[in-house]
Formats: sequence, structure tokens, C-alpha cells
Amino acid sequence: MTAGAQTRVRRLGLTALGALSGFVFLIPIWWLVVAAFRDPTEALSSTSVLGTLIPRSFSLDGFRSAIEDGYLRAVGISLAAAVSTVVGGLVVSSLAAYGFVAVRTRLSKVLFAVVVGSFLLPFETLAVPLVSVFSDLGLANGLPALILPALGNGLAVFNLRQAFLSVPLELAEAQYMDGAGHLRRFWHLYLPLCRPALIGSGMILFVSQWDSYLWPLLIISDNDNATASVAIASNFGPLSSNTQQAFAEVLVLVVIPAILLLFTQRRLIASSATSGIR
Amino acid sequence: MSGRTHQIRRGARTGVLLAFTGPALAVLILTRLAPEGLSLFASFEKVDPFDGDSWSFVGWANFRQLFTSAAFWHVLGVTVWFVVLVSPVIVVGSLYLAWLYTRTMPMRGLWRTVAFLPSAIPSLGLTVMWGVALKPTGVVNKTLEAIGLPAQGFYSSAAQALPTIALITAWGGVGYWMVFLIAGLLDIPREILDAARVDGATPWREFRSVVLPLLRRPLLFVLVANTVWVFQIYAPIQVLTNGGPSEATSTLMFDTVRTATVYSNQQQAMAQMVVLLVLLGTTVAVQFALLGERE
Repeated sequence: MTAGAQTRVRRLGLTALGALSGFVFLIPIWWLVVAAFRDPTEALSSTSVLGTLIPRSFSLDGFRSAIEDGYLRAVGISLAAAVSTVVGGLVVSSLAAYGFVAVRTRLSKVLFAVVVGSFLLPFETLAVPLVSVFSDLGLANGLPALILPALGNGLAVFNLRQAFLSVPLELAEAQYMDGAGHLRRFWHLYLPLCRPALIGSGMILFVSQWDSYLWPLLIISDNDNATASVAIASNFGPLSSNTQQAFAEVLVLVVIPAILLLFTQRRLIASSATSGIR
Repeated sequence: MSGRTHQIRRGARTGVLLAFTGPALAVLILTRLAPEGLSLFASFEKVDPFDGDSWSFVGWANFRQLFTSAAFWHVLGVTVWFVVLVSPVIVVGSLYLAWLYTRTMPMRGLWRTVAFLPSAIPSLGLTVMWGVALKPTGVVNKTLEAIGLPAQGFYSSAAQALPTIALITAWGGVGYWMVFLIAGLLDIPREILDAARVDGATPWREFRSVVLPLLRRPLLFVLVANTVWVFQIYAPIQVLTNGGPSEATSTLMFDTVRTATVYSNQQQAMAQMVVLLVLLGTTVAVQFALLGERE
């Protein structure tokens, strides 16, 4: 075999391997999408396995009954919580990151270790005592209860500090000479220069809130304030035969962050290549 | 004189530091330190079952009770077993995907995105879709029967429940960790790989002797960060198995919440949580050291 043919065979093998491995992830997702739009009567009559992957009927019944059950309200609450978490979390973590970069004393190092270390711990593991703390403070059952614990995110603080460290000190000094205080340097120099890190950290914050299930389950007792995940779980039993509605609801739950991730995945790879998360 | 200005400047710097980190510290105290302190405190006390307001300090009694109970050791065993089941799949799987999707091939970007897609599915979404697919009469069992294999119990069988939850978890996470390893792979200087190739290294040799050693730190990071994440998996266990069948899937995280909410034994739950925190704290310390190494 010539070298050229060998390369061609190798490339063909890699292409096949790439597609096969991709199918491991693509087929279940495809199945979910098809099933969410399938006519419930067809689902019952269909016995063929391949048939479950081919869309033969189209029905919005699942979505309709989800809306009738008030799912849109739950999605709205999840969105409000996630967006507030991104905004509030970026404020909290970028301010802290600036503090750690602008002031380099021993105290700043210790605080950095404490803040990032504690925030790397998923707060869900503290959910049980956190419920008592929040109930005592009268914070249970509302949007603040969902948002507050998610504001502290170790990776977000770490990312932003890493990005701020890469801002040339000469620039900050030049601004200082021009009489710019810390707040102005933070706002007019550091934040605009670190947009990719802000986007990456914003994604991390969004996903952490959007993914949460245990915490909203424990802290929100009023059904009208349930988040999307909790609303789905309250109607879902794994052995129930009507999956249309659950799948339609899951699809909505998936599509919203997927759109965001598709736009930012490349950025995420780029930003984790320049920051220290590896 | 200069000593005094130095002191003033240092005071001002501390002021700036505290002003900027203030909001983060407030969140830290309210949502991390307060519950940690509370659980530590509560794990050393006992509440009178007939009078909820009266409690007494009982020292290590709650912990002694935990560690002398066979049920708790079972829970610890399930937790460790769960981590042991998920971690290799995640590390080997994400490394394989990262290696594969950094080769030259058509539609590479698309496949990368596809592999990453499951990470966009919230844990409850994963639970619902796999719960339906893997139920006794579900599509996976129908497929098995169609090709002449026996149907499996999956999460409804005591033997398969934990591995099933582990697989669902790994399927949903492997593409996420792949991203970190792709970043690590792209970071390896081309010259090093070219040099290896000029020296006549086979692809396998190149991977084992050049790529793997240079990828050590990102791999370690994935292993440790993923372990932290696996410790707190809750949704699939609560929704699909509720800790069963016959306690086969009651991990420490699940059991702690159950002790607090279903059995209403706050003190016991707090003691369990302290154990979980010690396990996690150790892992996070390792993770932090790995992040620090990167600076």
C-alpha cells in the first residue's frame, strides 16, 4: 500500500470513528426530540424499535398539556432565577476578583483561597442546614432563596481573577496616573478587556442555576413558585405510560441552555485554554 | 515617618480589598459558613423527641451512632462504589473524545458540539429521558429483545441500579470534561509532536510518551473536579430509584437528605453531612491545589 492510500484509509477510519462516537450522544437526544413531538396514540401502537427514531406523526399535545399544567410559569421562574444569578454572580465575583488582583497582600491570598475553596464546594451538599438558615431568616420560598446561594461560584471567581491578572499592569498604572480610582479602573479597564472571561463565567453561573434541582425542591414549598425541574419531577414517575408531556417539558428545559451553549462553546474552549481551569 | 505612611497605606489596601470582596464574603458567610457552622453545632447535640425546643449536648454520640450502624457503612460503600464506577468512564471517555475530536476529520466541529450537547441537559432532564428509555418496557429493552438478547432490569434491579445511574451520569458529563481536555491538547506545542513524528514515533507511542505526560494536570483536574460533582448527584437517585432497590443506590448525599426530610432526624442528618463535607473538603483541597499549580 502506498503512503497516500494508507493516509486515506486512516482518515476514513477516523471519520467513521468520529461519527460512531458522535452517534452515542446524538441518537438518545434525537429520540427525545422525536418522542416529544410524537402523537400519543402512535406511541402506544408502535412496536418497532427503529420506528421510535423516525418521526411519523407530529403532535403538540405534550406541549399543550404542559402549558395547561402551568409549566410556562415554572420556566419563567427558572429563567428569572438564572438571569438574576448571572447578573448578581458576575457582580459579586468580578468585584472580588478585582480586589484579589488590585491588592496583593498576604490577607488577599488567604481570602482568595477561602473564597474559591468554599465556593468550589457544590452548595447542594449544604442544602439541609441551609434550609434551616434561610427559614430562620424568613428567606424561604422566594426568588432570593433560589438566587443567593448560587451567587458564590468558585470557578467564576477563579476565571475572572485569572483574566484580570493578564491585564497589563502598565495600563492600570497609566490610568492611576490619570487619577482614576479603583472603581473606574475596574469598570473602564478591567471589565471591557475581560469580556471572554465574563461570558465564560456567566455561562457557568447560568448553568449552575438552571441545573439545580435539590435546592429548589427543598426551599420552595409553594407549588406556584416551583422551578421547571421541580415542576417536571412532581408530575413524572418513571413507570407512567404518558411520557409526552414530560418529554415536551424536558425539551424546553434543554433547548434554552443549549442555545446559549452553542453560541459560547467555542469561547469556553478558548477561555479555558487561556485561564487556569486545566 | 515612612513607617507610618507605610502602615496607613497598608490599612488603605486592606480597606480596598475588603470593599471589593465584601459582597462575596457576605454570600460566603450567609450561604456557606452559616450552614456549615450550624451543621457542625447540630451534629453534636440531641433534641428531645417530645419537646422540640429542648436540646442537649451529646458530644460524639451522633457520630458514634453513625459509625456503629451497618446501614451507614453500607451507604458509605455505595458512595465510594458510585465514584469508582463513574470516574474511569469519565476520565477515559473524555480523553478518548478529546483525542478523537482534535484529529483532522470532516465535520469535526459538529461532532464536538454533539458530544458536548448532553452537558446542556439539566440533571432532571437526563433523569426523565433515561428513566423512560431504560424502564422495563422501554425502548432499550425492546431493542435488546429485537436483536435476541434478554431484557435487563436496569434501575429497577438491585444489581444493575447503581451501574445504571453511573452510566446516566457519565453520559451526561463526559462531553463537558472533554472540553477541558481539548483545551489541554490544543495547548501542547506543535513542535513537540512534530519532533516525535520526525523521530519515527507511532501514533500510539506519541500518545503514550508525549501527549499523556503533558496532559497529566488537566487529566488530574478532570478526575478531581468530576469526583466533587459525582458526590452530590441527587436527581436520578431520588426520581428513579429512591435509594433502592433494597438500598442499592442510597448514596451519602441521597441518604443525608432522606434522613433530614423523610425521617426528620436533623441531628443525624447533620452528622452525616459533616462526614460528606469532610470527604468533599479533602477532594476540593486537592482540586484547589491543582488549580493553583497552573498559575
